Parts: sequence; C-alpha cells; structure tokens
Amino acid sequence: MSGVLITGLGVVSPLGHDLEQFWTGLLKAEQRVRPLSWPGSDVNVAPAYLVEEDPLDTPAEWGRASRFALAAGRAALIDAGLFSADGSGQPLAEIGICLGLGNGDSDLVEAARDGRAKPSGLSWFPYGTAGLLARELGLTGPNMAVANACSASAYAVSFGADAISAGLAEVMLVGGTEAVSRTAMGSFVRLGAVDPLHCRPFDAERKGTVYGEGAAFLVLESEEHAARRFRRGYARVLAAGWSCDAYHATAPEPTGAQAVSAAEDTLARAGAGADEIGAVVCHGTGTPLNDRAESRTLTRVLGQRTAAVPATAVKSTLGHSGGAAGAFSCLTAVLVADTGEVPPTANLTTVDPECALNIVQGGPATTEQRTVLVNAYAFGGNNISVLISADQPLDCEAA
Amino acid sequence: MSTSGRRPFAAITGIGPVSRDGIGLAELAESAQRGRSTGEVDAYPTVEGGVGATASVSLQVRELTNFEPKAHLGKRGWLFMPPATRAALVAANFALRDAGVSGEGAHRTGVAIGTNFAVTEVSDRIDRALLTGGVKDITPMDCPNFSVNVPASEVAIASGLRAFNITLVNLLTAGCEAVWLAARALRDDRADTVLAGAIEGLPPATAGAVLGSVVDASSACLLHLERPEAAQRRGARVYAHITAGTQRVLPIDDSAAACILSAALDEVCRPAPARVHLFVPATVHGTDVADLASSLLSAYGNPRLTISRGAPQASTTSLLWLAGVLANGEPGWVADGRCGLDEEAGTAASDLVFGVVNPYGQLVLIRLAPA
Repeated sequence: MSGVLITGLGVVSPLGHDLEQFWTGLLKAEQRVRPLSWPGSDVNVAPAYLVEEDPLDTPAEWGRASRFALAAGRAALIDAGLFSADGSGQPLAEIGICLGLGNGDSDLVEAARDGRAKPSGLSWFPYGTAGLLARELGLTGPNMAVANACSASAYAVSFGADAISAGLAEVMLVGGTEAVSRTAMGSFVRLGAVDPLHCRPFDAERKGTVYGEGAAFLVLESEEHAARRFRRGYARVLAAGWSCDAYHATAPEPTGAQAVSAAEDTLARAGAGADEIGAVVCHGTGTPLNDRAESRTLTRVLGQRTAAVPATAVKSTLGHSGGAAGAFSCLTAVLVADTGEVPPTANLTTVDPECALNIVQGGPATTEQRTVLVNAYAFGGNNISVLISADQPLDCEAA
Repeated sequence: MSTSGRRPFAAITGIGPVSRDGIGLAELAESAQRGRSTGEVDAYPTVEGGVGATASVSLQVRELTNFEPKAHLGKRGWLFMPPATRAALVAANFALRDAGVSGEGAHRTGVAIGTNFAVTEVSDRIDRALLTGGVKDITPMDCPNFSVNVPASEVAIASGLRAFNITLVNLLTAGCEAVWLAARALRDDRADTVLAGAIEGLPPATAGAVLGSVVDASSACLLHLERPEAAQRRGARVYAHITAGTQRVLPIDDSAAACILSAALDEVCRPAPARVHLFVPATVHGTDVADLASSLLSAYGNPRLTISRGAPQASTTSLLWLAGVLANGEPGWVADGRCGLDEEAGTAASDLVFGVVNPYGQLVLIRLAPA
C-alpha cells in the first residue's frame, strides 16, 4: 500500500473548523467540554464536547452529522486542490467516498419522534450521509458507509486505501462523522459509562468516556495521480490490519490478543518493524477496561520500546466522537507524521499504574521517527490499526 | 470452473437464508419450486405497522411467522436480542453448515454484514423510554443495541469468528456491498473465509416510497465465501464464483448518469453476461435506472435484463433473490419480488450480473459465474 498518499485534510470539530485552529487546539489540549442542553430529557447536563458553530452553508434539511461531513469533506477536497478554493464547481477527478459513522443523522429521527419536526424525503433513514455527500459534491466513484461503531472511520480510511491499491479508484475521500445522539447518550448513561467531568484516558481516576462530535476527512490519492498533478502528500497510508475479539458485545477482550493481531498484521502488511513506530495515537476512550486492554496491547507490540514511544489520546481534547473518532485519530497521525509534534493527553493527573505507556502529558512531545500507529476499537471487539508515515519530498522526475 | 476468463475473487460455498419464504436453503428452494409450479401469490398475512407507525403513516408488515428462534438457537441466549440479530445468528449457522465447515478455521473467518434497519426498532424503544420515563426506564439489555454493528458482532461472538467484523449501512445496497467487500478481502488475504450478506429488522413506517408498501418484519441472508482454490482443495460444493464487482454513484442528470452507468457496466459486463438483474427502489424520482440500463445494454451483447422494483426486505432483498437463484441452480428468478422461476431463462451455464441502485444513486453490481 506504499502508493497511497494523503493529499488533503478537513475537519469540523469542537476546537474549530479550520485545520490550523484544530491543530493548535490539540497541541494546547484545549478543553471545550460543557453540559448538554436537552431540557426535559434525562441526558440534560451530561458532559459533551460539542461543535458550537454549525458549519457554513450546508442544507438545513440535512442532519447534523451530514452537515458536519459536507463541510469537512469539502474542506479536505479544497485542501487537496481537487475543488476550487470556494468549493464550487465539479471535482477535478473521479472520486469515491468511504465514510464511517455511528448514529448518523439520528437527530432528524429523534426530532420526528418527539414532535419537533415532521419526517420529509429520506430523513427517516439516518445512515444516508455517504449518498448525500456524493450527490452534493459530485463524487461518482465507489461509495461505502461503514458503521463499525467507534472504529468505523478508521475502517473507512482502510477501505479507501485498499480501493486505491486495488486500482478501483485513484482518489478517495475518506473519513467519519458523528453528532451527539440522544439515544446513544441515554444508553451510555444507563450503562454507567460516562465520566461526570471530562474525558481523561489513562488517568487513574477515569470513570468512563465523554461524548464528542464532529467530522474529519482525508483525501487519499494514488501516488501516480498525485504525481501527475505535482502534488506532495502530507503523509501516506502504509497499511491497516483488522481483527475481531469475538468476545463480548461491549467489553474488550482483556488480554488484547486480537488487538495485538491487528497491529501486527498492520506492520506485516507495511513491511515495517515495531522499531519504526515513532508515536502512537491511541484509541484511549477513558473507559477503565478499554484503556487497560489497549495498554497491554501496546506493551506487547512495542516491547522494550514501550517507555520510549510517545503515545497520545486525543479524545481527552475532542471527546469520543464515535463513528468519527478513527478518522480524527488518523488525521492527527497525519499531522504528527508531517510535523514531528505529538499532542498531549489532557486531563491526566495520575497515570493508571496498569497503563504503562509513555503518555504525552503537559505539552506536546516531539518524535524524530515519522511513522505513526493509530488504534481504533469498538463495540463487539471490532479492532483496526493503521500505519501512517510522513511523505517524502516530491520527486518531479517520477511525475 | 467457467469464469469467462476472469480470475474469481471468491467461491460461494454456503448459503443461509432466513425469510418468510424459507428458513434455510432447502425450505427456500422448495418454496421457490412451489411458487413456479402453482403460480402461488404471496399468502402471508400482513398487519399495519413499521417503526413509528401512526394512524396516517404505516406499512403492511409481514411477520416472520415461520421462524421459531428456540428451534434453532435453543432456550437461552437470544431472548434479549433484536429480531434481526436472531435471524442473523440462524443464517450464520445455516451458511456454515451448508458449507460443510466446522469451527477450526474460525480465527481466520471474517464477517461482513449490510443492514439498514437491524436496530431501528430497539433504538426507537430506547429513545421513547428516555423521553417518557427517563434513563431508568431504558432496559439495560437494550442499551448496546443502539449501535448498528452489534448484530454482526453477535454473529462473530457466537461462532468465534475473529478475522474481522464489518457492518455496512448504505440504503438497499449494503448487503451487496458487503458481499463485494468480502470477496476483495479474501483476495487481500484478510481472511480465509467470510460470512457475508445482509440482515434486516422492522423498517420505519415512512419507508414505503423506497421499500414498497409491503415489507417483512425481519430477514437475513448470509453467504459463506472462500478462496476458489481452497474450495476446490477441500472438495466443497460451489454454487457460483464472484468474478467481478463495481460501485458507483449515478448523478441526478440523465446524461451524466448514463456516462457513469456505462463505466460501471464496462467493469462487469465484458464479456457479455447472459443476464443482468437490477433491484431499484419502489418509486422512481428522476432518472429511471431500469430504462437507462435497458438502453445501454445493447453495447454489451444485449443480455437479458430483468428488474425488481421495491425492496420488501430492504438490503436483504437482493441476496434472498440470489439465494433462490443459486438454490435452484439456474439464474432465472422472476423479477417481481415473489417466488417463482422464469421458464424462459435457460441460462444456467452463463454469467449473471446482479445489483442494486438506491434513491441516492448509489449502485453496486456483482458478476457471478457458474461453478
């Protein structure tokens, strides 16, 4: 998969909708967590990392997740130079979409249920975002929507990269989107899985995760296609490995055996050794069981280098954005690979002694090795790891 | 192995249908034969319903009255699962048994499932409980099922399938997408075998314009896929080979849609197949893909084109149709969404292209060659 470049990035996030703003917010570990405002509902005042500013000119009849996706997807295509700077007109290539989502446009369904809105068009179908995006942006290539819960959009990145490697597409818009859902929030609260304060992965006092929302998109492009238009990538997708715990609907398999298998398969597919990993963007949800299982996984994968490899958990700053979380992690990994800076994990007071990792704290760390491992796990034990590495300067002769 | 010169991606070696027309392949095949000989029209009773049904908006719902989970899953373990998950578990068992495989290769078996409505009913129940009685009224056993990937996960847990577990959700196309994804995953060595297909639960009462006015309360159809050479090595019965596939999105504009559909047909219709069967939404808005395909197929040797309008089992519809075709050994299924074989087909030794297009223009086409 060495020929898959990442040539564009776009976000809609609690930190802002501009890439610079997003990256600065991550490096400073800014906290935008606040209580939900859903009066009349038991999830009112539950903490969440919310997108405060509804992004730009998206159609009002779309749900929040689709609106986030359209704004972030369009921004990524503009960033890649495949759309005009104002986002108008048709794309300059046939482009496909792989989208990860969790609850989709559940806000439309919920509004119909509580009488705030009447269903119209296809608003009864919450998972239509990939189709809406394709039609709105004129993207006629392969189109998939994957709903592997919290690992969905990391799978979307992998599917897009595979499509390019297999010659099914030259350009793929990949990513994920999520909007806070009342149904999901109610379920998490009922399960006692929400931290009452904020998201604090790997902290000894963590009490669960905290919901987040937003969208993150990456433009993947074949090396040949990028070279033809003299485009350098931020980074490249080296490989992704998949596995399933087949253990429990919500709890991770405690030894992390299948998560290790996903990471090792990733390295094997990339032809890379664990000693090439320069940083890890963890799944890091703040859920006691998950963080421990991931720590065991990484200790096995990194071996003696565990204490030396900086690891970060961006959900401490972004919240857990479910179907978008894997894409946010991949996008973060791209920026780590590109800049050599690793954002800190926020809200960390005392590291859980059972999480023996080199968690970045206080401020950003730096890494010389620009190959970054991303982990994403989900309900049902749907594991994936993705390896992302810095791109080399453009070889104009190859073009 | 006749594959029109194409190196096959996967062999279909097991089929597990759970539908009102049959629980397991033998029943489905029998139902199909009965339909052919008698011209039997659907005799299943319907009730008004659908998730969120009101006095003014509802569907005619056919319950899966022929499905007794206890008979297939035992007394315990499934009571708190949504109907689609129960159907999925049984479909998986049927597909694995039909393929003649036991549990030893489970760690290298993946799961790829498409669905649109597997958890719609339970999500609705959770939210209504929250609205009326608060968090305490949410049934804890319902909680994980707000997430649409849990049914596929339960399939993996039940049989220890550890290679991967994927849930796809594009409207109507998700089941076919899952099969095509699984076929490619085999070629990419992400698994040795895959259970791939679709499962569905009760759709929203407002979905009639897409699905049609009569829908099934739940359904499932899972295929057991494996590498052709592995199937040959173990002497497995092969129903068909998957030799090609493609996905595209058709634009709203007619001429642009024709252009994209041509590109898709280029990938799956050369050399010319014997037949193309398309599933389209119940109601057409804008470009009628059936008409478009009809006008374009003359450039591909004029294969016989048949169309099914509506999707009473949502994303499972096309795969249940395929199961019927394969169970009876000939690609001649009547294109009206009911059981019955086309007497005129006679194309058993030729390739079949089948696919689905949905209201967003998302299109998936898969080419099959007879074993």
